[in-house]
Amino acid sequence: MISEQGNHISINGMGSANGGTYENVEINGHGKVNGGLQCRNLTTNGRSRLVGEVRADYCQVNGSSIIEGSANVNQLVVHGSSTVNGSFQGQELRVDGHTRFNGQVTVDRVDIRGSLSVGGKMDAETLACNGKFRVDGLLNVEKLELTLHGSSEAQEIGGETIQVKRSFMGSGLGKVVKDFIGISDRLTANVIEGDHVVLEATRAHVVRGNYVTIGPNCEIGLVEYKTELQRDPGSSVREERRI
Amino acid sequence: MEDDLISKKDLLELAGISYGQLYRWKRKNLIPEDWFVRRSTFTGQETFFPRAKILQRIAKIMNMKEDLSLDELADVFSPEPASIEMDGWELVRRGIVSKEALALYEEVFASTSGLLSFDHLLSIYILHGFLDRGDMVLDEGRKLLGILQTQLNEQKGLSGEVLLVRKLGISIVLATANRDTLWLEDGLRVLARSSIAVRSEELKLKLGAGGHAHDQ
Repeated sequence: MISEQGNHISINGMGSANGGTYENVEINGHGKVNGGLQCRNLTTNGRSRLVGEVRADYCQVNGSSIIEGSANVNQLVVHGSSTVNGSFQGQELRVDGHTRFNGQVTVDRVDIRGSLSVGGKMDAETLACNGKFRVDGLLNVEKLELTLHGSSEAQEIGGETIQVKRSFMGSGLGKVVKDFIGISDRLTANVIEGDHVVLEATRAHVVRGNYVTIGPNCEIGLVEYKTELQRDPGSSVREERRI
Repeated sequence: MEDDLISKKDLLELAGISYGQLYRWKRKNLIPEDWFVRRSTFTGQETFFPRAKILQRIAKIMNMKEDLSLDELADVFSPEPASIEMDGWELVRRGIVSKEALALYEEVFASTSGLLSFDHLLSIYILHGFLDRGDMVLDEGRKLLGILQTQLNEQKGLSGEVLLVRKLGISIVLATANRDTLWLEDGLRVLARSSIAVRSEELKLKLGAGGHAHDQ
């Protein structure tokens, strides 16, 4: 059933609607919106497919959603899975589950519990991730806090504070179990640069920074540091240089 | 070639800035993407910058960051025209351009009244620079205005240069796109040149950084 009342659309059950400018858009069940959509609130429960660019103040996805275009959403909250075929720009991104952006991402705050994948570069002020991410470009972030579950990857990471640690399950008995079933918690990057860099279970060609801590289970080619370097004996660093 | 580039490491050392600042400025678009030049070195990939441009830019950022927010600074350095409209005479009143430069503009475009867009304000400002330094005579100024208008209309973004060259007493005004190199035949002398991006930054600052910095 599709109803359009004043400036609202809601799709209940199965249906499709045309894009345009609305106040509230709600999809319960299985819905499709054709054409660009601009609205204040967008909520999708179930499955949705939005064909075109999406601009919204607030968007919540419960279930799964595909945006076939770019998204400019102030606050995007995903419980479940969502895919954006274009780029994403917004203030806040929260993911419980999985989200994929095929284009680049520019956002202030990111909070991930689950996984995030970005097909271009990503700019953020803060990125807190409890899970994993993959960024196919430069991850430029003021403050990164990554708690590893599974394998994360970025071409390059640069910023002010970069903290990577293993989850509780990534050490001790948990690690034995994970190793046994073939999951490894690890961050892989070519280059990591920051003022304060604290790493665990990280594999990188080059790490550069002011204060650098190479914790357990790291494999680093070259570390260049300015003020201080701490190294865990359970990590391998091929070369270190003070600059 | 190598002399013209500076490695990221040397840049941080020389300018006394940190990785955090550099990445922050990059995120805020204070440093253009295409200034980050990737090169393979014996330690793997390293990033280099065009030395003169980046040092100049960082000096400006350090200078102005007390007075302007990073977003306002980004507007100043942006190749986009400022979203500002102003009466030409306001420029004269504020002492940004001379009466003569504005009068010549009004003569060439046969316009006297109304608000001018940033492109037009910039044309008058560039003309003013040439006239003020005594680099140009009025007739050359007329040619300059014509070519500037074409250049600013047809080219996306404020970049490139305008030049005044002379050979055997004949003077020619040229405008270039964003090309850094120009080869001239023997005997052709460059009398004056002016970078559009640099003049645009100056004008934006004089008008109050993107038009909203000093409104409050």
